[in-house]
Amino acid sequence: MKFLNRNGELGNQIMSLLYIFLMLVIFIGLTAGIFIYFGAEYQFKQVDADLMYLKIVKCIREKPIDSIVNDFYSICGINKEVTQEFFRVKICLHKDETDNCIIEESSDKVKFVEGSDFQSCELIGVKDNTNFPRCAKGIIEVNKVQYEVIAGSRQELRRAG
Amino acid sequence: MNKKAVEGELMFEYVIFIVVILLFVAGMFAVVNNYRNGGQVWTDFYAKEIVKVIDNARPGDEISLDVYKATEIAKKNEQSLSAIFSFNNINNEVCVKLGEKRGCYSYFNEVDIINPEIKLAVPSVSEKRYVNMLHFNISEVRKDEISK
Repeated sequence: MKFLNRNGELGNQIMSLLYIFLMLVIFIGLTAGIFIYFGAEYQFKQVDADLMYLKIVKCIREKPIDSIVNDFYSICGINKEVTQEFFRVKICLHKDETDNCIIEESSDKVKFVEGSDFQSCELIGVKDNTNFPRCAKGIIEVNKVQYEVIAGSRQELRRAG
Repeated sequence: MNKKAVEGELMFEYVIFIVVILLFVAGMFAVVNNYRNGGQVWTDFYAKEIVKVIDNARPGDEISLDVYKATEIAKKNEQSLSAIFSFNNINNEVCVKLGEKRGCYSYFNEVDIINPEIKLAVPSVSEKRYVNMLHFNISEVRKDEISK
């Protein structure tokens, strides 16, 4: 009789474990489904980075580079606090194909830099990961001098009550 | 006695289980209800699209945007019309509130937003219907805080 009871208890325990496991699977499935369906954000980081890039390119084309180096924000009409908080910007001299603004650290070549971790702009593996910053970059020529410009955005919508 | 104890234990387990399920269902209901009419998604959309317009603008520009969908959702969610869009020139921030929560996004362009106003039932020639328009002006930086 004792032996039989033990078997029964064991069976009950296994069944409750299975039941809890089943409920967990359903809960996780429901939660994942709801967040996948409703939780996707309107992706804007790339547009944000492109807008910043175009603004800087326009500024370099229209204003003397020395004044940009000395007073980037007021010369280009860009807000310093917002840029420091959500963006990364780098302007380098581009002399030949071996120059790479992303890893450039020489003060002769780097004309302006705000923020860090420009390497993440080049990572192929993070392109599908929306949590990573998005970057825009290109080379422009002004008065026969080439500049490489990088602009990245990591801004996301801030929700408050 | 034993039987009663076992029954009590079982009851206790069931009660806990039911409470957990109810909490989960309530949480899910709250999340789904929040997204139900697309309030969160449209908040996201409008905040970012307005920032895009501001970042592209120059002092002296006058901006008019069709915000019919936003006003429609805000009305359904019993939000005041004047609280839908707010512009903070100090923080360079646009906030949109269509539901319980508001969403804010920053613009990097060093300009101020002045005279924001929602104009209701403006005839749209291109779409042959009446739309609600958000109107504002872009000016040089003055760093005043304006909320509309």
